[in-house]
Amino acid sequence: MIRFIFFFLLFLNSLTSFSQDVIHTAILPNSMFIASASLQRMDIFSGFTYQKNFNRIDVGTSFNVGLRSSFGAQQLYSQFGSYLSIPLIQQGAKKRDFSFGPMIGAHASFLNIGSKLRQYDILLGYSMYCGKTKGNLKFFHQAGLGPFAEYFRTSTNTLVQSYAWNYHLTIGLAYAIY
Amino acid sequence: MRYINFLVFAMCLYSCTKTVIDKKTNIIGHAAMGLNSSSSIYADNSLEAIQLALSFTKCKGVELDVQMDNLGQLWLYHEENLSAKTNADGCINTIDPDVLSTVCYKTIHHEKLVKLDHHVLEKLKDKTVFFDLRHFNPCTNSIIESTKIKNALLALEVDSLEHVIIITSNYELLEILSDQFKVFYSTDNYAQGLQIMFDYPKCGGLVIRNISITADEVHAIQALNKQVAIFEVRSPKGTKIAFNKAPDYLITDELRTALAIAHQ
Repeated sequence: MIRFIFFFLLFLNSLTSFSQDVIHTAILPNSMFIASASLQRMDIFSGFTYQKNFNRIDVGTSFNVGLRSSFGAQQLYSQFGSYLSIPLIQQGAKKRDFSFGPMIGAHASFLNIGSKLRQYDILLGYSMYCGKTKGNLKFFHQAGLGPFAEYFRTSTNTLVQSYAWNYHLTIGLAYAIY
Repeated sequence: MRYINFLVFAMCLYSCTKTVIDKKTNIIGHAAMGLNSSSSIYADNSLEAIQLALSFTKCKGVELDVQMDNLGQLWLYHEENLSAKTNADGCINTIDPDVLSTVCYKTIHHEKLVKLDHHVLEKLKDKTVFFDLRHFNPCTNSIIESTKIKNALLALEVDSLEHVIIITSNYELLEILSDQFKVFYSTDNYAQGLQIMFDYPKCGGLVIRNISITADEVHAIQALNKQVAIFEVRSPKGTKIAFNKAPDYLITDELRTALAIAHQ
């Protein structure tokens, strides 16, 4: 646990301290629409993300559905999420070709299987995108790892809580607006 | 344009199609929450996994793998060797219970290896429980005496529990246990399973892989007043196919997926 807190503080430190000002000269996408698929512990999720750049921070909100449950089992498995990422490394002309940085995110998922499951996770990881300088389309990728909690009530109204680690491995296609 | 219209129409039809599920099929968690399933959270056959599986409203029970130690006590574990999933090495059949009681799974929760005792049976009493008996000792390449297994089950008063079903693929165990327990025969071969239903009238039913039996064959076994449990069901498609065969029990490796389909 202490190790986890240490790395978390180290990560937070990376959000606030910069060795050089690489962002200032870049012309970053003002916002991006992203269609993505994400491999997670419970399902493969697919959906849309809207990401907006606020000065030095990219903020994204997403809506996904679990493919196995929603289409395979025909039971809507919805997931709402948001994340913050700092594009620390940027390459290419106008620094638009490649962007990479740490990411912190949180998700809430809901599935009714007779018991109404509520699942929450927090992720630490990285976010990146790459694509041609003049183009609007970019390859988008995120990966993260973090704690996961699941809650539901039994038929006798007892709350069941289980905890685990969750992972997200996301790839997608982004449409960048400058 | 006509092609696109047809495509949209076909997609609408497909999206509106719901699988009709036989609600009589009881959903059972394989090794509690599913064998080698990433969504199971806890280790196979662990007490935590059993409690989680039985907490789901529509989960009717669990299937658990039972192995005997060198002093005749029963433990819940699926693999042949402890090193596959725990911090210990060797076969359960050759290890003392004192040593086994210290064994933990190699998962983040470090669940303890579960000894099948009255405390565990108490948690299972209102649910359907399949005990898959492992009668073979892989470390010594020998068959465990059927009477030893029977005595261990009787010592735990398993025969007094209403919803316990014993699974075996051993004729001798089938013969010796079917007087006092509800016993299902496990096979990959439908024809062999059907023959067993005739040869051993006390056998309660058949446990068979999803790919090894058709809907008509399920009905043929049920027509003999026997029950059918289908296992090795993981994907949503495979689960729907298994449900459509209308077995009495569906032993699933993806409990959440099976419950989601059944909840339609």
